Amino acid sequence: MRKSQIIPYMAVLAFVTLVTLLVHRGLGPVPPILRLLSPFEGIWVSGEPRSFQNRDFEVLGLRERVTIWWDSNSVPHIVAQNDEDLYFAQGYLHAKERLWQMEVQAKAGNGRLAEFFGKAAAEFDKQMILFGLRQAQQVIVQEMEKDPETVVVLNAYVEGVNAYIRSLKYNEYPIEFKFHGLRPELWTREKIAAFLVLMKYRLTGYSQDLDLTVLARKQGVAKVLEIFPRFQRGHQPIVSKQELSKTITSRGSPMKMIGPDPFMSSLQKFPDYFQPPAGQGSNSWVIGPEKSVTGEVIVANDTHLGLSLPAAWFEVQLTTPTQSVYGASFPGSPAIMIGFNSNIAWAMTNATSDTLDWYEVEFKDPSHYEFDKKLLPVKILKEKIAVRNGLDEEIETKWTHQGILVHEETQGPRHLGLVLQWSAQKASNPISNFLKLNKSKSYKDCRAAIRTYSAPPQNIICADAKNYSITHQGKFLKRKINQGRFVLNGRTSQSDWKQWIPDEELPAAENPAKGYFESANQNPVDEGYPYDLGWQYDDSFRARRISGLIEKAGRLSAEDMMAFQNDDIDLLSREVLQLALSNITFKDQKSSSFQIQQKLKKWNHKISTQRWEPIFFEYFWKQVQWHFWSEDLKIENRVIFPPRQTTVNRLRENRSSDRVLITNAFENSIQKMEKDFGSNFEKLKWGERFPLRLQHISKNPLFSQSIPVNGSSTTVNVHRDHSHGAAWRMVVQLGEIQRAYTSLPGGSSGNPLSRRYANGVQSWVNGEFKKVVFLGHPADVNLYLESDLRAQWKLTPQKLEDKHTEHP
Amino acid sequence: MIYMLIAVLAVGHTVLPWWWTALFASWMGWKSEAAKIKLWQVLFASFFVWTLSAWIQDYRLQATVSESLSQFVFRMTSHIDLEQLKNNAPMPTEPYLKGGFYLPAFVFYLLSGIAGTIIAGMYFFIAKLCSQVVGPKPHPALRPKG
Repeated sequence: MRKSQIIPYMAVLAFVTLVTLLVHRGLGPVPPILRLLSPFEGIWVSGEPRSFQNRDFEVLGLRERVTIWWDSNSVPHIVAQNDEDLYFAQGYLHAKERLWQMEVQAKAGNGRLAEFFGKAAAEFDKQMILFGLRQAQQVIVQEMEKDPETVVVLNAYVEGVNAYIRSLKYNEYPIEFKFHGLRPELWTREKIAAFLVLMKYRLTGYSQDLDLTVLARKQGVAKVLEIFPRFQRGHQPIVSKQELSKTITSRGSPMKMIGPDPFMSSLQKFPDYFQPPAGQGSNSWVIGPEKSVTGEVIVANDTHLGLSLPAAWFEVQLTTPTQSVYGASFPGSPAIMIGFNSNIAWAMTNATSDTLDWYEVEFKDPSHYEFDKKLLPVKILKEKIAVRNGLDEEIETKWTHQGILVHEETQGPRHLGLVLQWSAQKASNPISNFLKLNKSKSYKDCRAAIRTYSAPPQNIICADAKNYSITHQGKFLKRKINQGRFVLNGRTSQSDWKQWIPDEELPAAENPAKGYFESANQNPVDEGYPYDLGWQYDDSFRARRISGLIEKAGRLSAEDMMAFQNDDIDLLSREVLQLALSNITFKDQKSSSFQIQQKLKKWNHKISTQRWEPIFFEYFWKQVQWHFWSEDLKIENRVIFPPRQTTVNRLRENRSSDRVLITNAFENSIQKMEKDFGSNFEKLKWGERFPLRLQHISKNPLFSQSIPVNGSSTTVNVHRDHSHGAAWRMVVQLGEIQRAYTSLPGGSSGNPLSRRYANGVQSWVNGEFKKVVFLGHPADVNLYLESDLRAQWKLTPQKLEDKHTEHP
Repeated sequence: MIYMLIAVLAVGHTVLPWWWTALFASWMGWKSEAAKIKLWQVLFASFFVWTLSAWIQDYRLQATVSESLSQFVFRMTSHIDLEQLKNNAPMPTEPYLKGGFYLPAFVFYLLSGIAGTIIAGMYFFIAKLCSQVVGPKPHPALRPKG
């Protein structure tokens, strides 16, 4: 070859290599486009038949044959002959339907998202590690391994997921794996734990302690406690003092009650960190026989999570000769978390109690900190963040006996640090509780099953046809009043976490005289309860609306419960506008401001997609809060707004000085709206301006949706921040004639190219429910008509010699 | 020649992934001078096979892919309102496909065809170049005179 020919030859070779990479693996953020478009392995083979078809799968690892029946609602019912096969099949089915979602969630919980999404996700991973959540996963696995029953179930589930993954060829990968040029990794117990960690992060990972510490230094402790109170005026607890199952009295606390001069941290700067959206809550209520048309208990539950596609929950029935349970499961984890069986039903809302404390610590040298006038060693761990298409990062984490160091600061000769202690970092085994709940044969079993449940804390309803209870269940520190509101002094054992509230002293009640319980993430107790569980609860607007609806009605049916779950009347706007509008007077009755005021007075406070008033209220509420609090509660460049009820209570006080502020807020709202939308407010529609965005789990815009929905953050039918809402609605009428209804904002499939990906969304938006097909026993399948059961998938044990070995 | 190319490519493509096209095009490229195979013939064959295969796959699965893609594309394009984008306001919504709107799916079939053409063209070109540089020289009788 001549020298002059080598250069073009090498150039062409380099070009071919580059394009081959693009074709086969993608390059950085660029997906392997050409391979994606290949008809025999790309997107075209990721579709699914329109209708369900009977299918047979040979699966390595099964003991006996398992049948998965798909009913007319596109809900699968797994019928197995034994528990191990049941959870194996659940793992197999979860993986078959939701593998990408499972993998992304496990990566997120484990702080390993950058392994998939590169540098853009490295900051999130770093925070998960700096919060001690990667280590938490190991602690949870160790705790789960202590329980033999849990181990059997975990093993079966993991084997089921892996049996599916091992059977996959490239052309069968979920479309997202193809899109990102990735391949599925085998499932492990650690990934199940990682998912539990992610739930703990989402449901308990918010804290205003740092902000309140800064505010207290500026405004004083008393003022902060007044504006951010533990109990609001008009607070409606989940369990009142009179309803508590037993009289509970404080039996000492490891820390002294907070005084007028609590420890004030001298740290100059607190770290910014990602917080999950506050108030990831839910609604649940239960009505007793005396309030039910059937004379038997009815349970209702709607869980509010960040909504995404595919749906957060996976609806399924699990059946063996010894158990049959129906409800919502989490893809990636065995058992059913919320649901019912032939005997009982249970429901959950997020407890929202305080499980997170911050400590100021002082270092005497880089590896020792001061504690009770002694020096203790700092434990140092190294963690790696593997970054796809980038350089790996190594992080050093430092631990004191209280928790993990998240911030360091030098002040002259002093070296201070901020340590985070969080119950999410501690051991727990919720799987064990869920397994017991699934198999509960009686109300008593149900209550026993939740007794040791620790995290993430929940308000749990247990019910059979005649009895019902609610328990604020979790692992809570024995705090005294207002303890842990601000950064604590980590130099002394006075601040250490020592004692937990024993299960028998947790707020709990059963069969109350009023005939029902409701919970909507409000403070679970009133002043009669001796320990401080926290303060950052949701206001009582939803709770008061629910109890108002229940009390106003006579006897209630399951249909009434479904209507209540879709209730769009907003108590916040009703109370705010009633109080505020009476304080505003306009001299010119022809002015547009006067006209708007009059129209608002006629509004029924229904947050409907077609109305303009909710948009105005959003603007007005922001203005009111700004006018009321921007001077007093400003720290650095932002304002720490108090709970909504504090603002409503201030309006109720009717201070003369506030009248000008309210009028200004009203005028400013009109001006801002006119600037944003023009002067014809009545043509505006809430649903168009504030639609719900159902984002794909890895935020692929192609596979996401945007839909107008009713409701706001304070209506029973919650719709918050464009992205939060009822991720699961369930109504169960217990008793002789058991009936259940569910609604899911999505479908069973995680495949965007499947008809079951989002098939439930529109009926969910419309507030419609599907009547559950419940198989009480494996033999029940014969009782159902063809119209109820559409298809069956048979999972048959595969012989060893047929083992498919394509996957490593 | 063109029918033969399509037939060979189609048969191979039913059992082999994308690199069958690459292999096929490379071989054609290597032999192009000796066998007088034209680039356009290989490109056309690949385009035809990939487009048709995409449609067959979709048809075999009762069109869920094209339907879904059509829905997604329709949903996205129907949201593009420059005025609203300028105002940074949320977009109006029309989540569900109007009946018979399959143009995006057709575009996707064509995209598959183009993908096949790119692969074939690239490998044809490379192989042809390689054969010119390191391959056997044409018979003296076939060499250009002068």
